[in-house]
Amino acid sequence: MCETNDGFVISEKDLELRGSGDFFGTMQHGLPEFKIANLFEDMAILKKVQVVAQEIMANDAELKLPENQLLQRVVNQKLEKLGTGTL
Amino acid sequence: MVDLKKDVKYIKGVGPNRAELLNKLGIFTLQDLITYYPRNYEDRSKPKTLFECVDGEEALIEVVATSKIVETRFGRKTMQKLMIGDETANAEAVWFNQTYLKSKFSIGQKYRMYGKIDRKYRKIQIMSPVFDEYGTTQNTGRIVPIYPLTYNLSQNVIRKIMENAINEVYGNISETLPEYLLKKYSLLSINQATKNIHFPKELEDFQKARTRLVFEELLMTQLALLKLKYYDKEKIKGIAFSKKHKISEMIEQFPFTLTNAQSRVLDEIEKDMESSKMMNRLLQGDVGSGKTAIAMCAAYKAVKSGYQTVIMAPTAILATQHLENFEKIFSKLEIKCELLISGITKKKKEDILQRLKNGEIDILIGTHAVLEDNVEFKNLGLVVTDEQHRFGVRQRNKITKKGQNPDTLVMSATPIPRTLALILYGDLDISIIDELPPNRKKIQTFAVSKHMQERVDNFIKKQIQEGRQAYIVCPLVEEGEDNNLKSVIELAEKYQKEIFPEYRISYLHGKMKQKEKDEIMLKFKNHEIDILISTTVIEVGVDVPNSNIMVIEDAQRFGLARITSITWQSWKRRISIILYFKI
Repeated sequence: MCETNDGFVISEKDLELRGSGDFFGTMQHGLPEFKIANLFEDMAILKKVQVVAQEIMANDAELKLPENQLLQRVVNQKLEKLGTGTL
Repeated sequence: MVDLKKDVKYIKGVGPNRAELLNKLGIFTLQDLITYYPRNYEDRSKPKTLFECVDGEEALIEVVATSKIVETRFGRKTMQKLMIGDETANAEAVWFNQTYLKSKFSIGQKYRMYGKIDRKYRKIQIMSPVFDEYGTTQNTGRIVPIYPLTYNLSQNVIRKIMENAINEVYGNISETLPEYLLKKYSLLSINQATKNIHFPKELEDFQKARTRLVFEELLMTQLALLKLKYYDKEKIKGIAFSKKHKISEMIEQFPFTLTNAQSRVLDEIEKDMESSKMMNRLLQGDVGSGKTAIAMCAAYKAVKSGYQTVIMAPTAILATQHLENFEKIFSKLEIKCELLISGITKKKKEDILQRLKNGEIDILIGTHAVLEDNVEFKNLGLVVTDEQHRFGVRQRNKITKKGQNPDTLVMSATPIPRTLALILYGDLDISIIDELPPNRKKIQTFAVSKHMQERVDNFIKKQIQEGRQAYIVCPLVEEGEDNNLKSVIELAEKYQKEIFPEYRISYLHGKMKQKEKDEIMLKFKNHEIDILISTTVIEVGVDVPNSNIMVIEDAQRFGLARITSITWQSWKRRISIILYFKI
């Protein structure tokens, strides 16, 4: 315990030890709820996804290209759930 | 293509009664149903001979019925026994209170059964097995899904319903991921993934299905947040605050110099504020790293540019503390601050609301109370929320709507690794204060086991004799609030009677009324209490500079993130921490 006072190091360690359920249990509100993903177990997929998402946004931020039509539909559903309405 | 919005009651095997039970699980549509994923699986696909079965294990057997069901009655209960056998041994299948089974078996017929094996001496029993006629695979002979919480629906029923639903949708669900992503990342099609997540043939099927579904879920969430950010930035016209009033004027008011990290963050914020784009920024930094000073600077710029600012804190105590700090600085500058929390009198509240609407109040500091509909601003320009995780995206939206696209600054002391920050707050830009003011004492943390309690108690005594104060934090008891309550009161009594009879001890817990809590915190702050014992309610963090020690009992129950958040969010700087572990 005495080894580090760096919160980022500690919280990453904690996430590793306890899994995201407990980690987010301490944060509770306002977090996205996942039906199947588990931010701890699926960290590898998450990292991959973030690269994909940033690439897509860099090329087609409004998701208007024909190949991204499918994404746009589901993303808009997500946004509606967040209470922001379709963008 | 199938209509996934179809009411679940029209799915084969559901009907109005079961639909009601499904509704309780949050399942209303076909879509909800097929995304109600199993929590686990049981491999019922690998048969064993009776000879191989071990006592206590769950096993699949393939047997022939060698008798009719014999029912025995004792009291109100009944027991059904069926003699069975395979080429290696004979056995009994046993059920309780399942009278209807009588007609289900015929002598000489082969069945698959799955259940718990009870093997004592030479006798083999299989207890309450699920079964199929050989050749069918409703309950056995494959990997079966186990669904989470099902109310009064048995696993069998929900499994059957799911099977019907999958049969209906399989091959007819419109793809949700673009072809190029499926190809590039070798992901299953939505149809295959949906089928295999519920009814995998092999474990590998399940893993592939899960990967595809997780990929999609995370991608859509991440894209939604990034799109929100893009939209806020590019499409919405925000407020361009005046370039004439520089944050540096405010910095001169502080009795201390800023750290490099603070200066860097302030540059980022000033740039955001002066641009006509909407600011949506998350500011992360330990307690004591100087987030409040940053908030003051931003508020100063907003007010000087002719706009109002609102600061939202998660608790009344914190809001009050903010007000005190703000007034110290802003009263000199003739900037008017007010406090809006639920505890104030109706008259005072009405007065505040009136002046807020007229623009006579420059900075409003408060709790959730500021979200109420009757709170109207003249021209809200800046929203600062303290402790992000207590205010969700939705609440942020609500407060933002009280102005014309005001800038938003979210402050959080909880450290979040980068990858997670992106999926949790991907709609925000992130600034980090990764440096503490030079005079800030590092927190000392000691982990000790319970047998060192005497030494620790003596240490506390010494501190109190020197005029300091201490916190003792109680273990969290998982079974519920009542137990927490008990443990706090018990602990307080123990300390008062056995260990520190000469000192003033008081306690706090989550079931107390806010007013009581505030009173006790105030007493502690005024040094009318020496030792405060509490559950984690004290986490909301009042600055009591005279306290310098905190003891956390049964620290292993809290988890590191919790402990670090307790230590940072609350006592700022001058405190040593002792963690008891049961070793």
